[in-house]
Amino acid sequence: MFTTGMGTTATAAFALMTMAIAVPTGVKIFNWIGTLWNGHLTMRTPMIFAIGFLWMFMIGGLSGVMHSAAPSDAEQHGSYFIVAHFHYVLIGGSLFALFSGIHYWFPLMFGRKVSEFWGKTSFWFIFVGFNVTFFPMHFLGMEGMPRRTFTYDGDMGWNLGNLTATIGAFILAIGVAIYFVTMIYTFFKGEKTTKDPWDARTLEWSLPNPPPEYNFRVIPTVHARDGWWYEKRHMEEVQKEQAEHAKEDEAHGGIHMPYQSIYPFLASVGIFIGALGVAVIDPANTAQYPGFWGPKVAVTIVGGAIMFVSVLLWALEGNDGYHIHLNEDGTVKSEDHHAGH
Amino acid sequence: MSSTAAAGAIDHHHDSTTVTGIPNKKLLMWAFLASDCMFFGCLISTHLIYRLHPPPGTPNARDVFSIELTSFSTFILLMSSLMMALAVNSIQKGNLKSLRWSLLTTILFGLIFLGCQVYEFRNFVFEKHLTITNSILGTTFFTLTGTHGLHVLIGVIWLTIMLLYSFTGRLTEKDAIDVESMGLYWHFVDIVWIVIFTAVYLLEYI
Repeated sequence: MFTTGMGTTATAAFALMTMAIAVPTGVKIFNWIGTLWNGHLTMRTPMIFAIGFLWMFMIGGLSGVMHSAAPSDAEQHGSYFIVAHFHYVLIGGSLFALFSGIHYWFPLMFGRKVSEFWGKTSFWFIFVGFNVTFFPMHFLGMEGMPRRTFTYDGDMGWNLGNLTATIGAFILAIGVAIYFVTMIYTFFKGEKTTKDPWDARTLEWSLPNPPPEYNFRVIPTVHARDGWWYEKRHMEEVQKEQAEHAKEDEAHGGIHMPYQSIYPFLASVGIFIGALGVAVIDPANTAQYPGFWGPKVAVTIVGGAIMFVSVLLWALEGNDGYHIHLNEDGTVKSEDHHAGH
Repeated sequence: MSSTAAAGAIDHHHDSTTVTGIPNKKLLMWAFLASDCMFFGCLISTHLIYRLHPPPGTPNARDVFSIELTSFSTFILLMSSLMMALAVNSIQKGNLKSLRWSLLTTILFGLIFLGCQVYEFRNFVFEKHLTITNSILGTTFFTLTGTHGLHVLIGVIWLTIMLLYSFTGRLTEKDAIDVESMGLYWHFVDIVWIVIFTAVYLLEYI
């Protein structure tokens, strides 16, 4: 923004905003460190991905706050420094966390546990490959290499940095491939796991895997910050309480379930078609249609109409739903489909 | 209510109140209106900023606007809000007949407003030669008032559906919150128009 020539007021405003965004980001970093602090850390795959995320995101944040200095940003603008910065934010700041989350919740979603060995192997390939790829780009940017460059003169002094980045990109690709091949293998053939394989502390792990359609049999009463940890240590008391609540719920008509409806899906199909019309179809390609009507407008309107009709039918369906009654072991005993409340 | 439930038991599963104490249908509407506020805020502030820096050749807004017509349609829209409030009141008392008349009047007033806007837009484009592409005033004006007009149109469609729905017999006192949420939307569109009328039209006359 500083190189667009908007004047000193706008430059000052953007500099302040760039500095200000470092504050909530810093607070989040300290939140995460505070969560880990004094904890008894078990270095399994999700945890090492999470710690990797913390470090990489912090580096991305540090190079980010450098952009708030307008004079130095004028040099970084449009260079490989920017490419390095936002990849540390994108990959370090979101992909690492996503990989951590997928690995962690995989057993809950599919009832199979991902191999720790292959999880850790993929982490080290991704971690090393990622840093070897993107760290040299900081220096390339400082040496003046513009972004979106596919070729350059051999005597610019950028050769070593680019070679390193290329090697890193291959290592990173191997790491990501290992990660996803492991996930696909686990989905079909992975080791079956029981409930709560991580000895976790949060309530989603109190469910069997995969979770039943009604999720929680009774709405859990939270007794402590680490609800499931507490429940595991006060089993008898909690089971008694849940049995009472289940009885009350049964007296009030069982577990209320929403109707399964096709209309939310149809509405999203409609909005997808409409958005294709608005954003994707190039009006220049449809210049042979004079005036207002053309593929762009027609696709937009058809998509909008599908969305509108779906929402309307969805609304007319009502929100009555039905009730299910459970056996002692949590299997469904019967379903009530009474219209109205 | 299931057959096994004791008569008169409290049914917790149909209590749609959120932890904020506001029913979730209403909370949804408030959240939507908050985001819509920002949408209109952007369009209004864009109009106000460019108004101060007209490029050469921009027509004088006072020569284009017809304040008499717009004042009339503003009045009509304000009155439609009154009818909307009466409609909410009717459904809360379970009075379907009164609800239908109030909704019908609201729809008619909304249509009159839209008719005035269509007339105004045609007048501006064909008589006053102000189009969405030929001047910055046209761009900000038509984008802002057009977006508002679209909101009114969506509101009219919603009101019409609700009016038709009231004949199915499924609309009862218990569904008052559905009409109330629609009312929130309608009043919001009305309040936005008051801001637009002041910031876009009246401002040109002081």
